[in-house]
Amino acid sequence: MIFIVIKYSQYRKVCLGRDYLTKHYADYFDLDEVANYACMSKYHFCRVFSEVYGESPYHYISKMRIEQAKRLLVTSKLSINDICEAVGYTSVGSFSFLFRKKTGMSPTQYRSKLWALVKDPLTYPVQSVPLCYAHHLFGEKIDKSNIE
Amino acid sequence: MIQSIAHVTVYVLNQDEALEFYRDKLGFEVGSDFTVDGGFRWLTVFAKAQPDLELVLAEPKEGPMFTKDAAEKIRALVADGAFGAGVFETDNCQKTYEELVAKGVEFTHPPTEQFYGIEALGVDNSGNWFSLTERAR
Repeated sequence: MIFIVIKYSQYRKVCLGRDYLTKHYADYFDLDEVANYACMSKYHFCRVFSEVYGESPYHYISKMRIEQAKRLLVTSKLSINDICEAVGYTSVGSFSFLFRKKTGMSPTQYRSKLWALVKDPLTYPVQSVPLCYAHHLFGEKIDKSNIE
Repeated sequence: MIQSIAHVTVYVLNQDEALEFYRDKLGFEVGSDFTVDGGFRWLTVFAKAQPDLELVLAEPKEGPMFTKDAAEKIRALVADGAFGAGVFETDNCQKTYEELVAKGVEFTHPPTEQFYGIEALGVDNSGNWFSLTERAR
């Protein structure tokens, strides 16, 4: 196993870059701009980012976009087109492809599936939360029919 | 085989206020923040470098699982400092301590040398204690 030592100063800089990405995830992704904000070269920024967070800046942005899309699909009535744009994609085709790759379903399927599970509109189904919490915090009954 | 810990519960007195504290003062990021069918709020935060370990900021309320009496007892215990949020690690205890104090975080003990490193003891805005620890190198 190889251990890579990262100076605290580098960690603080890459944190700044990540904060920038978090705030601007829906904007056009410009690695030069982010690295500049973090006062690092883009190669150095990418390397340290990956070492600290275990994923590339691009992968982080993709993940943020898809997570926000999931939230909007459940808690809003925005169209798929509008959600695609809101999270930073210019092509519905690309958005749908990436969404399906991440979740195993199309945006429409995801929305239909979750909406079918709730009584209160625009809320998350209890199934979104680990069962132990759903039971202990929200009082959701545990189905023992599958327990032998 | 258990691979890791994914969620840990921290009981808080008010989820809005706790979110402000953990996100804006301690610098945690929001993992999930949504309303669950039935009206309950699922709120989690995580330390930036550890996104796979989430603190569940749970507010004990009268409801399906807590009677009014039980919820009040838990709230009283939280406010009395009976529970801890855990040990939060830092690369520089003194510097982080000063930054957090400047942000208004309450500490009961300043950074002091221990055999395992340097440790300060703080309190969140519900009453949960936490340790801010810089490991010995």
